[in-house]
Amino acid sequence: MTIASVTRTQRRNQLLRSATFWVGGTITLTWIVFAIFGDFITQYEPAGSPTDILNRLAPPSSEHLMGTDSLGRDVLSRLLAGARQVLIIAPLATLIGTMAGTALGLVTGYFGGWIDEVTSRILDAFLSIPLIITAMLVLAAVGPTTVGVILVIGLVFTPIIARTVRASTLSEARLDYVTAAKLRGEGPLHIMFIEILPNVMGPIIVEFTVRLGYAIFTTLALSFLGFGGDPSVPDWGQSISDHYVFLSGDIWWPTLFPALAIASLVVGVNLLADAIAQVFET
Amino acid sequence: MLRFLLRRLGLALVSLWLLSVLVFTGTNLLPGNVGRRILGPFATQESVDLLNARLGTDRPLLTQYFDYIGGVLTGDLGTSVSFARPVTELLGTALANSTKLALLAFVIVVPLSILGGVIAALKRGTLVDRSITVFGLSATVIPEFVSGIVVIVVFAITLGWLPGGAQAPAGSGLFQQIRYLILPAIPLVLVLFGYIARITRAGMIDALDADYTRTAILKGLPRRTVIRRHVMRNALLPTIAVVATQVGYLFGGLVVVEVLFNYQGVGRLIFDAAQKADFPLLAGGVLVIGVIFQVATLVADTMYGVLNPRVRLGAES
Repeated sequence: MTIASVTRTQRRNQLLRSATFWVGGTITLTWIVFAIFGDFITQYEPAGSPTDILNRLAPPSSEHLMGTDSLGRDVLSRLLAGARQVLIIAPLATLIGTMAGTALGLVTGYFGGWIDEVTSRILDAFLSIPLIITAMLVLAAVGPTTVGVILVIGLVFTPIIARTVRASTLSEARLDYVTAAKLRGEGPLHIMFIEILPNVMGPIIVEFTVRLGYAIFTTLALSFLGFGGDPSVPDWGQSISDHYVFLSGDIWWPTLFPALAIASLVVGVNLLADAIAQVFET
Repeated sequence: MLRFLLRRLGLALVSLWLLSVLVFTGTNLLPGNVGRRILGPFATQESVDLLNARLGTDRPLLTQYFDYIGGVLTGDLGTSVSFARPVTELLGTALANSTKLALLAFVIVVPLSILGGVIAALKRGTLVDRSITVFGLSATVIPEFVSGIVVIVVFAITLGWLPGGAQAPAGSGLFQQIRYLILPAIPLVLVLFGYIARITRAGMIDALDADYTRTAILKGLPRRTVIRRHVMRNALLPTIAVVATQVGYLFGGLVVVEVLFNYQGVGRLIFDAAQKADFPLLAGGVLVIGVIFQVATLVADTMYGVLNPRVRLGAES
């Protein structure tokens, strides 16, 4: 069945009946709420205060629900602030990649010919290197900053999304409504963005949600490796890399809580993506 | 078949050449010149100029590129700035280590995930299917450093069954080395499991629903025979291609796993190079991974052709 033959209402109803959608959506929404209202939930400053160092690595208690880290900062406060960090970087990066990829995919799919051939080759070369390594290469050259992380993930997503959009555009470009628009004398820009784009939105939405999961994964892996941007901003990957050496001394709280946070967020977002993909693919 | 392979080989070479251009541009054209990136913001301009002159990074870019590509073609990837040793020598040792780890992960994950995918497809829609699918999806999306830490805590610290580092003492036998590599392999296995199982399941379901399967069942063939001879043969072909493309991903995963488990492989080397802005080593590492990826896809395409009679017998599609 093609995407066009399923109506929007049918799709929405199918989504609302899917358990995966509700579980994934609830987890994701919870993290968004935590990220926005984090400051109201705890009374401690995520960046820490000068006296914190006197109370380092304190186990969870009624004072500090998740204990304190190696510099005496409240783990819970840093967890909530870290949610904000990843939920800003990953969606922004995915959005940039989706927009650039959509534009590129429309152009290569619509014009075809040598433009298509040349870009396809360059994109292939690009895609033979794992995302995280490309990101490290670029960040090593420009220096790790938060903006750099967002741009590099967006940059790497561009060819991946372009490839999907290109494939959909190729099949759309052969259809009668495109021919009709050409005969009406519409320019290529109008045909690509006004005529074809609305009809390839399905695959684009699916790509966006799937890539969002990868963006979160990559952002956190980069920050674990020390390429996550500004080191003074609380960050889950960085919290783990700073504290996993303490695990062998039975100090598990500064590592375990961020690890659980990461696991729940990525599973939540990917369940959501899976539910959306399923609705568009049946 | 031969024509198809030659074309694929040509495309792979073009991709590699483009990759060399991209890597070269990436390490040279981005803001902040090489000497400044290596010495940091507090070094004097004189020492930066001196280093650039010594590295040859003060020459015109085109000259540098031809110099670089000439070296690559003769097997010389330059000298590492931070280790002061030839890049090829460093990469050689590291590659041997990474191959051991990657091989172990593949040996574990391929049978396991194909079995998982086959079972899920045969029990489609049941609780077993849902469990395998949801477990696979979750395992695939959880970053390796999270699952890696969990296995270190459980198996190395709490139970004390296996060592928490990956590097076996020098001169260890094969079994000893494998013992050290089991824990680092688990995060890689988890990430790959969901992906391969998912593709296998999809391929199996397509084949189960195909007309030839219905014909085979209606002919009265036993279910086992139908599944083994008609369904599996057709379903597993796409899986082979997918497994090979995962070799590329695997090297991304190796960076995190090798850093976490302190293992001297290619991933760790690239990480060190990126941290120290050691561009010759970084560029060499990326190029080697590109070559491995292209070779793996080429091998997969060949295997697909050999195993698939439609391609093998020269039917033009």
